[in-house]
Formats: sequence, structure tokens, C-alpha cells
Amino acid sequence: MKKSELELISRGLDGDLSPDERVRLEALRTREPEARTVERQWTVLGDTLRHDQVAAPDATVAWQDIQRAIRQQAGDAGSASTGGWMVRFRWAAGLAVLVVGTVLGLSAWRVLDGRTPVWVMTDPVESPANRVEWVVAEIPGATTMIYTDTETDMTVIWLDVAQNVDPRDS
Amino acid sequence: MKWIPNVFKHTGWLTALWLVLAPVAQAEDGMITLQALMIQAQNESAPIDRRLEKVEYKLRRVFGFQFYRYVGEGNLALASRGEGTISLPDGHRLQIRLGGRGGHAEVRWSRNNEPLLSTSVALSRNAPIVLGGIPANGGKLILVLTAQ
Repeated sequence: MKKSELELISRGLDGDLSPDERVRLEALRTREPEARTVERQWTVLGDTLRHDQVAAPDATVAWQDIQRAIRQQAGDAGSASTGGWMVRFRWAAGLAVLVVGTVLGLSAWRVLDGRTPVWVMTDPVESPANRVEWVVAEIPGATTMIYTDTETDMTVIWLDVAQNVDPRDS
Repeated sequence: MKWIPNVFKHTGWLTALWLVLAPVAQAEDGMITLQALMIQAQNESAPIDRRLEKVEYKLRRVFGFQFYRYVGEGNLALASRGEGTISLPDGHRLQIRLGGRGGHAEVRWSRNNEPLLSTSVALSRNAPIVLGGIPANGGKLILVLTAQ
């Protein structure tokens, strides 16, 4: 069959023929059995396609799918970096728990032992020199001098009893 | 919150280490050793005494005496809020009471139960505090008190 005859059959199935073309198509059907066969096959094929027609994808739904895929991809990348951070956080949290536990444990220990908690620091301080709070000369008439030598860190509390007659002096 | 069990897993060995070391630290902690060195400062000649080698050069910096003679010494180990007495030659005694914040110590120096000097100091480790000025045998008595 000629291409023009096939086009005539196709347009006839689509209902696009002029009266003259309808006459020609009818003559073709009468003259060519093959033309009738082709027309019948195309009619069946068209009915089948119309019957099984798949709905076209909805644009809104498609865009939502794309956005969901983007979010999922970003989430996967983020969780990879979050994993590293979580490892560091675990160590930091562990050390914090240990430090707090140590301080509380030592403090509880000292309190139970009748002593002062760690943070009160009753032990001698590590500062270089002693600090004198007060001095009382118990010898009548004696005076006191306080002196700190910064080079030796030595603090001197000196009783000046030279002008007194001290009966306890042997 | 899946990480919580892992925290304890990671710190398990550290906690065990702490449990082992904490009693050791406690045994070391809280005890203060006080040493009192009794010296006579004088201008009369006195032999060199190796027992004074750690303090004599310091005393020479501060005092004008030419010679320092070892008289005696005593030691005392106290807890942070402990109290005790160091007995020294010739009836001298140092009564020491530790307590309060910052390692404070109250020190009372007496001779034959007669008080000579009372003071309160914030002690620093290995920084000597010198009490002195009591006339004796033509010189002056000095007590060098060191917390260790």
C-alpha cells in the first residue's frame, strides 16, 4: 500500500476527512482487502491504548517527589558529619562525667572522713610566701615586726624585747 | 539518645582507673608535715652545722647576726584540721592548730608553759616562717617553721 493510502486510513480513523476523501477511502476499502485489514488492526490498537491509558504524572506530585529526594540526599550527607561529631561528643561527655564524678567522689569521701571538701582547700597553699593574719606578743611591753623576704619566701615575725627586762630570759 | 550507653562504655576504664587511684590520692592528701628548727642567732663564733645548711644562707640574708647555732628540732604531721605540739629544747613548745580556709595555722610559742608569741598565718608549702627575737645566752632564739 502506498503511504498516501495509509495516511488516508489514519485520518479516516481520526475523523479528519473531507467528503471527497471519504469517497476515496470507501473506494480503497472496496478495492484493497489489505486496506480493510490495516484499518481493522489500527482500530483494535487504538481501542486497546484508550482502554489501558496510564494517567499522566501530576506535576505537583512529581515536584514533591523531587523535593523529597533532595532532602533525603542532604540528610544522608548530614548524618555522615553528625556521626563524627557524635563520637567527639561521646568522649567529651564521658570526660565531663568522669571529672564531675571525681570531684563529687573526693568531696563525699572527705566529708565522710570528717574533713572539708576539696574545693575549700584547707591545705597549705602553693603561693610562694606565707601570709600573716595576726600576731600577739605575749611578753609585756614587747613589740612585733613582720617582714617577708621575696627572694627566699621567708616570712619573719620578730619580737623586739630588747628594751624590756624579761624575767623568763635565762 | 542511643549514645548514652556508649558514654559509659567509653568511660568505663577511666572510672575503674579512678576507683583504683582515688584511695591512693586520698592517703597522700590532707596530711601536712611541719618542721620546727630551733636556732640561736649570735655574734659569737659558732661551728658550721650541716643541719642548718638549708636555712642558714636564708637567715644571713635577713638578719644581721654573724653566726647561727643549731639548738634542736621537732616534727609534727597533722591532718588538715589537726592540732598538735612540737616540743623543743629548754622547755620551748610550739602548739599548732590547722584549720579554716587557705591552710591557716594558729601557732602558739611558749617556754615552760609561759606564752611568748601567738600568731595566725596562711601557710605555704616549703616557705619558711620564722619566729624569733627571744633573748637567750647573749643572742636571739629563732624558730624556723616549715610546712611540707
